[in-house]
Amino acid sequence: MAEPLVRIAGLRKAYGELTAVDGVDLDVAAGEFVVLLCPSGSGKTTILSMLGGFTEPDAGRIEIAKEDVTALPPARRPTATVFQDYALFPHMNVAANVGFGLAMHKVEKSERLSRVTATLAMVGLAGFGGRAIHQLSGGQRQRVALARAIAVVPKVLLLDEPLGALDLALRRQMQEELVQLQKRLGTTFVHVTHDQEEALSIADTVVVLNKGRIEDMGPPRRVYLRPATLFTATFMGESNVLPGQVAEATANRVGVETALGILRSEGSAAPGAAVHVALRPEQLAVAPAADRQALGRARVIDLTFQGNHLRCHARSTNEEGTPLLLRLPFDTPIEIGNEVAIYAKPTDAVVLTR
Amino acid sequence: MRKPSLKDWAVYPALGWTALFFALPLAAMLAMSFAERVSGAIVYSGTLANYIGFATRSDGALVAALANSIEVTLIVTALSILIAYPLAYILAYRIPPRWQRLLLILIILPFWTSYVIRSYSWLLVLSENGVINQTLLALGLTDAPIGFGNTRAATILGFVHFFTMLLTLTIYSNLSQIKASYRLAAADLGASAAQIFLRVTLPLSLPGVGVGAFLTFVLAIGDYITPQILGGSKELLLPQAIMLQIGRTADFPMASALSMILMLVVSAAFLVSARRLKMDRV
Amino acid sequence: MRRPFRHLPAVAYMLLMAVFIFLPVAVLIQYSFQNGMLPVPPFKGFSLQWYAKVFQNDRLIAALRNSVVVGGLSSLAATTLGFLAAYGLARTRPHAAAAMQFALMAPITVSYLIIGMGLQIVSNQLGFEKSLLLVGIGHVVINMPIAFAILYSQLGEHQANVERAAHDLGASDWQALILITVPMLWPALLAAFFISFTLSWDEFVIAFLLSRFDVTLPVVIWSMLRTGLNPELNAAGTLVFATSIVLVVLVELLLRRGRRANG
Repeated sequence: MAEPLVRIAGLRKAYGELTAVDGVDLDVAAGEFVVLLCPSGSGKTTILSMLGGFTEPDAGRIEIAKEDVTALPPARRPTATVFQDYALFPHMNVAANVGFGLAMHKVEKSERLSRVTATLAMVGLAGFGGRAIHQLSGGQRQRVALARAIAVVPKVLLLDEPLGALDLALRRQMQEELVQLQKRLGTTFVHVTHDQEEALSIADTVVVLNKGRIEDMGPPRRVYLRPATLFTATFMGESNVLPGQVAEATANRVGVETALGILRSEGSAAPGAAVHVALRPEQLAVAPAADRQALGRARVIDLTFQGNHLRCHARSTNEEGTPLLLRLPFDTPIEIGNEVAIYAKPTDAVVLTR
Repeated sequence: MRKPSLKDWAVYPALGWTALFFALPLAAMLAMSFAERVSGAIVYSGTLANYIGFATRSDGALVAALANSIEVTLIVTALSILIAYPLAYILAYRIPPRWQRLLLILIILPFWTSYVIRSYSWLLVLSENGVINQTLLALGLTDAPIGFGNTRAATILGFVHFFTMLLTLTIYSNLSQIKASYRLAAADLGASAAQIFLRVTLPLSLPGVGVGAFLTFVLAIGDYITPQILGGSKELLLPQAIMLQIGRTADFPMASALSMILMLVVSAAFLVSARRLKMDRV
Repeated sequence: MRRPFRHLPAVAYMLLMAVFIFLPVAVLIQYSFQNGMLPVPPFKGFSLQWYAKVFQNDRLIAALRNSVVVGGLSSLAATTLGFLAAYGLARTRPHAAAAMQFALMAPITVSYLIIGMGLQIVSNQLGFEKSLLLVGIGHVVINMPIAFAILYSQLGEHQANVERAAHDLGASDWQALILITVPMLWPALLAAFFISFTLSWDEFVIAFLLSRFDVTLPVVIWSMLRTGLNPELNAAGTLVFATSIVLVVLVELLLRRGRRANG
C-alpha cells in the first residue's frame, strides 16, 4: 500500500469503566471506502467521533495526510461527517444547509451558489434548494446531509450509520448511490454500520470490531469466506462452528478432528491444539460430489421455505448429536424427519485458532 | 489540551448570580437569626434568643402562627387535590383529545390574574353585599348576610381556588401521559371500571399528584398576600408574622429566625414527598 | 346500549368548576364597568369611568411603567443567564454538573418572601437604598431557574449533534452559537422571556420589600386596596389580567411553533 491517507495508531477511549475503543491501529488509503462494522455499542461510533474531532482520545494519535490532527478541533480537520440523525439545521432551507460549510470557509457568494447547485445535482436533489427541511422525506434529508458534508470537499468523509433510519428498499438504493458517489468523487469514505449485508455490499475494506478491538479486516469477500476469528465467523452471517483438535499439520494445511470426522483445509496450527472449524450453511450439502467429503448422517428437525432456498435445521446422528444449519436449493426433495447424508468441500472449512 | 471555550465558562455567570444574590442573602439571614438587637443596632452574638423566643413567647403567638400555617396548608393541599383530580380526570379521559389543550388553557385562565387582584376579587365575592350573600338572601337561605371576610375559611377558599388550577395542570399532564393501552389491557383482563381506576390509573398518576402537592405546599405556606387580604390579622399565618416583625418593629433577627423555621418546614415537606415519589416508582 | 345520561356527572362537574374558577374574575370584570361607587351588587349600569380614572392615575401609570421596565430587563437578564447556564451545562458536562444543576434550581424551593427579605438584609448591611434595581435583581433570582429549566430541556443530544455539524463544517464557537443554537432555540428563548416577564409583572412581596418611592404595579394595587373596595381597582385588575392573558397566549403560540419546527 502506498502512503496511507489516514493513519490511526494506538487509539484508546474509555467512558468510566467501559472501554469503548481499546488500542486500535488502522491505515486507510486515499480513495478507499472503509466500513467499520460491529454489534451496536462496540466503539465504532466512538472511533468515527475521534476521527471527526468530537471526542478526545485517551491515548493514541490520528494523522490525516501526514498531519497530526489528534488535538485539532473539528473545524480545522479535513474531515466532514454525515450524522446518524442528519443534524440538519432546521431553521435554514436546503441550499443554506449545503452552503453553510462554504460560508464558514469564506467562499465568495456567487461561487458558493454554483457549488451548492452542483452538489445538490450530484445527490439527486437538483431544484430542491429552496425547500424547508421539514418539507423533506427521510431519504431526501439523508441526501441533504450528504450534500452538506461533501460540499466542503473533505479529504475524508465520515458516515455514522447514515442509512439506519431508512426503510429496507431505500437503504439498498442509497447503498448503491453511495458507492457510485464515492467512485465519482474519489474521496475517502469511512462508514460505520452494524448491518453486515450493508458492509459487504459497499466496502472496499471491512473492519470488524469487537469490544473496542479490531477482530478482522480486509476485502469483504475474504472476510466473509475466510474469517480470521471465531467472532467474525459468527458475526458476519451464520456459520456452523465445530470444536475440534488439530490431528495433523503441515506448512499451510491442517487436519482437524471434529465430531463429523477429520476435515483437512488451509491453515496453520500446532498438532494437538484446540481449534474451531467453521462452515457456512450454504457450504453444507445433502448430495455427494467429486470434491465433497462425507460428514456422516443427520436427521432433519426443521425446514423453512425462504423463497430462493430452504433453511434446514438438522441434528447429526453421531454421539454428540451435533446441531447443523444448512441452506439447501429450494427444490431439494426433503421432509422433516428424513435422515440425510451430509457433505462438504473440506477446502471450504475455515480453521479458527482464536 | 484544547483551549477553554465559550461553553466551558457559560454556566458560571448564572452560578455567580445565584451565589451572590441567593446563597449569600440566605447565609446572611442565617447569621441574622443568631443575632440580637442592642439599642437599635444589630449585634451578631450567636445567641439562640430568637429561636427560644419563638418557642417560649408567653402568648404563644409565633408557635400558633406556625401551627396555623401548617394546618391551613395541609387542608388547602388536601382539598385542592380532591377538587382538581376529578377535573383533570374528566379533561384527560372524557374530552376529545383535540379540545383538551384549549379547554385546559381556558380552565386555568384565572391562574394568570395578578396575585393581589385574585385575592381582592374573592373579597368582592365574599363581602356582605357580594354575589354569594346576595344569592343566599335571594334564595331565602339566610336572613342576614354572612361575614365571610377575615376568616380562616376565606383564606382557604382563596388558596384552594388558585391551587385547584395548578393541580389540574400537573395532574392532567400526568394522566394524559398514561398510555390508553394500560387501561385497555386491564379491561381486557376483566377489570371493572372502578378496578381499572384503583389499580391502574390512580397508582400511575400519583407522581403527578405528588409533584403538584409539593408545589402547593411550598407556595401556600410561603404566601403572604392571600391570608393577609382574605384572612385578615385575627389569626396570623407564619408569613404574616414574619412581615409583622419586619414592618412594625424592624426586628430582622426574629424575622430571620422565623424564615429559617419556614425553610425547615419546606425542606421536611420536600424530603417526605421525595421519599414518597421514589417509593411509588418502584 | 346507549346511556343518554352517561356524561351527565362529568358535564355537571365541569360546569360547577367553571363557576368556581371564573366567579371571582367575572365579578372583577363586571364591576370594573360599574356605574357607581361600589364594586358590589346591585349593578347600576355600564360605564367606562373607572378605566378613565385608571389612565388619569399618575401613580398607577408610573407603576405600570416601572413594572414594564423591571419585568423587561430582569426577564432579559434571567433568560440570558439561564440560557448560558443551560448551554454550558448541557455541552461540557462538567464533573459537578448535577451539583451545579441543583444549585441553579435551588431558588425555586424558597419562598419569595424569604428571598426578598434576604436581599433586604444584605442591602441594609451594605448601606444600599431600596430601589427598583434591587427588585429587578430579586426577580432575576426567582426567574432564572425557570428559564434555565425551559432551555435545558431543549438542549438534547440532537441539538448537540446539530452544533457538532456546524463545527465540523468550520464554524467557530461563536458562529455556531449565533447562527445555529440561538435561532433554533428562538421559540423557547421567547417563551422563557415571556414566562419570566409574566411572573415578574405579577410579583408582589419582593417588590414590596425592596422598593420605596418608585414601586411596581402590584405594590400600588396593594396600597390602593388598603383604602377599601373601589371599582378603580377592578379596572386596574382587569387591565393587568388582560395583559397577562395576551402574554400567555403569545407563549403558547411560540411553543406551538417551536414544536412544529422541530417535530
